[in-house]
Amino acid sequence: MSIWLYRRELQGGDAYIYANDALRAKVPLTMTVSCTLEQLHDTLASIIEDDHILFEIPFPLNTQMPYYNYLKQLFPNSYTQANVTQSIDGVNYYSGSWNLLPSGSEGYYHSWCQAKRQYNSGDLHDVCTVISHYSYNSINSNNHIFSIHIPVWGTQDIDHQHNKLQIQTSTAKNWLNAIYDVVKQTLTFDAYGPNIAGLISNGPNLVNTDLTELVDFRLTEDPYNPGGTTEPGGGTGDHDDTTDPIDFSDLPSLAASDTKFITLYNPTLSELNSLAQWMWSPLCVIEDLRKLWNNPMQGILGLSIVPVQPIQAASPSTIYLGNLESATTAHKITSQYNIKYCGSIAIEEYWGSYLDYAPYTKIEIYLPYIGTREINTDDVMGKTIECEYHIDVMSGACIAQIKCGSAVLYQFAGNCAASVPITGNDWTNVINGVMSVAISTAMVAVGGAVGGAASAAAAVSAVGSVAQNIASMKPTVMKSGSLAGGAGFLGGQTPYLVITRPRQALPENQNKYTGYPSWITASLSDLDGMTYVAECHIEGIPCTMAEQDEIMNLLKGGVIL
Amino acid sequence: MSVSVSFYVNRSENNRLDKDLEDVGISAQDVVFKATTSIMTPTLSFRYTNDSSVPRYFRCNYIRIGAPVNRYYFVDDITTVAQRIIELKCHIDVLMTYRDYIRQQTAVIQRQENRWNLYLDDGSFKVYQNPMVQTKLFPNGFTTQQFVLAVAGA
Repeated sequence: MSIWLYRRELQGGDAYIYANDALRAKVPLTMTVSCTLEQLHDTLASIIEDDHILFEIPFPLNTQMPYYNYLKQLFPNSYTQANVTQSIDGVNYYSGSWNLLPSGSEGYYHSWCQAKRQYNSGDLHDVCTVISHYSYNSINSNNHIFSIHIPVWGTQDIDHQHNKLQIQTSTAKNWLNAIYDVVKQTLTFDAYGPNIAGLISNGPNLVNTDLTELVDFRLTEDPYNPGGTTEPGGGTGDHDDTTDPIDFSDLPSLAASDTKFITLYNPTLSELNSLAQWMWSPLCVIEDLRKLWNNPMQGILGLSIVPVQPIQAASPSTIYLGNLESATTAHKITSQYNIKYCGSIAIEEYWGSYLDYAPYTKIEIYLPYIGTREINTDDVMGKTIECEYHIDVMSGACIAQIKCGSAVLYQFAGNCAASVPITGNDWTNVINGVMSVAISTAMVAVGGAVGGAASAAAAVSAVGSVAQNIASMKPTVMKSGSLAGGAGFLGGQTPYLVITRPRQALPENQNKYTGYPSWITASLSDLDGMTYVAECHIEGIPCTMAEQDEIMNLLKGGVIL
Repeated sequence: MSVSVSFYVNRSENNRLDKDLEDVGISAQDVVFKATTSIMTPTLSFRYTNDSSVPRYFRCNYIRIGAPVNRYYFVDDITTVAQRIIELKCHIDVLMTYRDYIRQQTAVIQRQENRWNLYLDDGSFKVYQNPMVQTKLFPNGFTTQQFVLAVAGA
């Protein structure tokens, strides 16, 4: 449970409750809600953490009074001081103080003590003022008066009224008086207390007289408290438009063949033929093989075809299967990784206008062993695109890096090795791999075609073939699926761009009739020709208001200067 | 109140600031406003004395009302209300009347005939439904096929 705090004004025996300077409800002078002391404690404790709280409570004469423990829970280091008696208007008041800080209070105000607590900012503020009052005459021991007040930094006056002492500030915002009955466990928003001077005087018409709604309204947090005024800000960007170049990445430094667990060769076809013949010939001593494997094929980890010339040793060397010397030689591959630089293309504007950019112009790139991918026109327009493949000839993994201007903005992965099945398992794996590629290729996405056509017709009838509408209604079609492995060898081997540009329908001298987009601030005396004004502060013209409105309307509707 | 009126033929666009006016060579003195008329859309009437000038009155589509009004007007309608009395229904041309003041104004310009930036997208350009499709090849592709044999051992 939490309690909303309001400003309250008493008018003609009713309480007018204002929150956020708006009249929220009109209630009878007394309204009671049920809540336990713990609930009240939880609410007030949470408020204390973030805000200032003023308590007015009967002075705790002894530790048996419930609010004594309550305050000790809130302020464990606090202590009480001796009573000071006052007599006001024939009524005797016994007052004391509850000091929040163990070192004692820092000031006296009449008979009240103010305790100050340091904020995190280092400034000392009136964080919490606990004023205690106890009257023998009219307050019974079961009624404990709470005054919950959120003060602002203003002068504090004390107004003695009825049987209750209140704290007022000249700039107080919200406050509410209540009496908590420990026995009944009720909190009564009471009638005690005058209007607060200096606040908004007369509110609007009554909006709510439903007590139930008021209770619920009160028992929720006030989202407007604490409020505040907005502050000016913004416009302080650093305007840093520098960009760091991002070049093509370096190749990895570690290679599998460096481990000596495997060796890569780049055999010619004839060398492979020789190897195969040796493996099934008497020259391949089965007894020697049986010391190592059950099957000579176990010595061959894989055979594949790649679309690049691997970096190889200058001279061929004998092919060893494990430590079994074959009768065949081939060039060892000295570097597991290759770079294939595909060159560059300069992408120039066609129209020299916004039509050259997304979404009006679309650019897709076909990459061998990867497929067709869409790239953002805004990234490449007016720049030079470079394409470079980094290839792992052992696994066939490849990555195409697309450099737009000075930075690599796109990286697409694929596989450029076609496995050559040399065992029955290899054959099955290769076929299954090809089938999966074929299925993914068949799943061509045609997005929005049907719906796009219907909306396109409607849009054309309304506004004509405006570039924006056309760009948003054209369906997106995948031009290829995955082209990895063997499928890649069957596809195109040279990357290329597909640029889809709009064809502008521009009538002759359109700028003479409609102007072109401008968006500048200019004196009208510096312009000539058709001019549409977006905004203007017309001043210095000795004309009537009607004439001024006419001038503004004409300027916005287009004038010929 | 009587005013003097000069008659013109306006061949310029209505929204042009400086009108190209042809003086028809006649004027009228002692032109009176119709009772309860607006300075924005006045109705004037005057008596002509020379029948030969009537055709020129009916040619005019533009007038200037002299002091103390000092404003230019489009002629919306010309009516003969009685013998030798012509009535003109007009509406004000604020552009011509206040052209010098208007030129002194500074404004944010949305569209302009001669000073523009075509990179601003205001949706005003139309395009055909059939776009251009261009393909651009990279200079170098994959041109070779090589075997890679991986064997166990060093």
